Formats: sequence, C-alpha cells, structure tokens
Amino acid sequence: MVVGWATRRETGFQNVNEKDGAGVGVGVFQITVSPTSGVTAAQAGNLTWAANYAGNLLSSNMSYLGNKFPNFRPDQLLQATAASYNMNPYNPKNFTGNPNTIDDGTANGNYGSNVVQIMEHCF
Amino acid sequence: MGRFGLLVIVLTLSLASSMLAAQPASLTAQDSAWLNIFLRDYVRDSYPTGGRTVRYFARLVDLADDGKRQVIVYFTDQHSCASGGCTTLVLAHEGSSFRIVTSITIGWPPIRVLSIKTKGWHDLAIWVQGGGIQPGYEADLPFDGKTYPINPSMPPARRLLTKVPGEVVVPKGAEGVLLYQK
Repeated sequence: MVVGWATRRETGFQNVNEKDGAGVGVGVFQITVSPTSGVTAAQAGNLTWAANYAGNLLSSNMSYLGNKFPNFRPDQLLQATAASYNMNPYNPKNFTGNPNTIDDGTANGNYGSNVVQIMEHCF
Repeated sequence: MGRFGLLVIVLTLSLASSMLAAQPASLTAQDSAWLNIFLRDYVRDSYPTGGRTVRYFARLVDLADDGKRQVIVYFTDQHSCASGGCTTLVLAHEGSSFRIVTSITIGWPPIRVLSIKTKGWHDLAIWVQGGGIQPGYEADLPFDGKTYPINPSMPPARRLLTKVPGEVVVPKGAEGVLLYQK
C-alpha cells in the first residue's frame, strides 16, 4: 500500500516523464530508467508492471531496513521504507538508524513523513 | 626569439596551467586502483551481494585550486538510485586511500564544479528532481569549511536562479564502470 501513497507524493497519480536534467524518472511511479537500471521506458510506463516493480522494491527495502535497524518502531520503519523510495537505502550514510533523521536526506527533507501523512489522511 | 615572443609563451603556459587546475580529469591507473579498493570496502557490508552490482563514475577535481586533488564519485547502478536520484560522494585523497568529505543523498547529473567559491572551495551544482519536485532545477552546494550540504533540496543548498559558469564533472547519461569487473 505504501506504493500508492508514495505515488501520490511523486506524481499525484499523473504520468510524468522527466525531461530536464535527469530525464530518467518515468511514469506514474517515477521509476528510474537508464542504461544501468535494468528497466526500460516501456516497462516503467506500463502501469501493471510498474506497480509490481515498485511494490517489490519497497518490500525488499522494508525487509532490509527492518533487519538493519531493529530498534525502529513499526511507524518508524514505515516512514523509513517510504523514504527509501526517494533515497537509496543501501548507502551507509543515508540511513543511520536515528529515527529523528530518517528524512534528512530526502526531497525537501520530508518525503517519508509526508507519505505516511498522506496514508493517514486516507483513513 | 624577441622579448614579445617570450612574453606570449609565458602567458600561454600560465593560462594553460590555471585552466588545468580547474579542469576535471580522469583518474590515473593508480588512483583508480586505490579508489576501487576504498569503494569495495565502503559498500561491502551494506549493499546486496556485497556490492557486486555497483557501478560508479569518477572524476578527479581540484576543489580548492591548491594542487590537492579530490574525487567526485557518482553511483549509477540500480541499488544506488531512487526517485530522487543517485548517491554522490566527494572524497579527499589521504595517502593511498580516501576520506569522505560529503555523501550527497539525492540528485542527478549533470554535476558541475562551479567557478564560484565558498570558504575556499569551489561550489558544486547538481540537478534536483523527483520525489514530488517537478519540474527540476539546478542546486548550488556551497562548501562550509568542512563539508558540502548532504541534501541538495534543502538549505544551505539553494536553487540557482541564473546559469553560473562551471565545468561538468558528471555528464547526463554517465554509465560508469562496474566496481567488480567481470
């Protein structure tokens, strides 16, 4: 379900293809498309394929972050997982285990908490 | 050769020397080997499969124009990137290894070394886009005497409102090389 809320933050469920600077975030889920990402623009633009890809990515990130930071409460793990959609979870400097700094490196410094807020407003 | 000819040669050499100091350069074979060892150690315990899928693009720079070289590393593989972009490291040479000056969390190429300086080091510029930031923009990362901002979308990084001259060190579409060559 985090996929849907992250998508709301990314694109508002609009099909956005980045054209300036990077030019590599494609589709509703803003999946990175580059020669080294292993994802084609056609795949990223296919709603079903992209939703599955994003879901698997977040599931994998949640498992990784949960194992790395067992001190995280469930709500903190959810915030970190959401943040990992915007910021690579594997770089040792990005997530330090401090729940107060989960979003420090993300877009506008609030990605994970904002996605969780969007989730809470849906219920 | 007359005095004028000598003057022209001296001026030409002087100009070429100052341009070389600011120009990004490819790493020497020795630097590349040291960097490879450093990066393998850096990602070993945190990346899936010990970092065997990691790719990176690296350029040698002289951010303080003092002859001491730094390396800008931009990771380009799938695990190093997310909707905000990929990880960038600014490394300082320390003997045969490196020290992390800054780990920039998000951002996209092009990455530029700007002509302007703050606290003695050239500012960096990186493209910010994704994670709800649309359209993108180029952010200026000023040095604070010890490090650069880790997050280009937050102060003290700031949006560049005009085009500032600088050298591209990581171009758009940079693919990089595998950390573990097959």
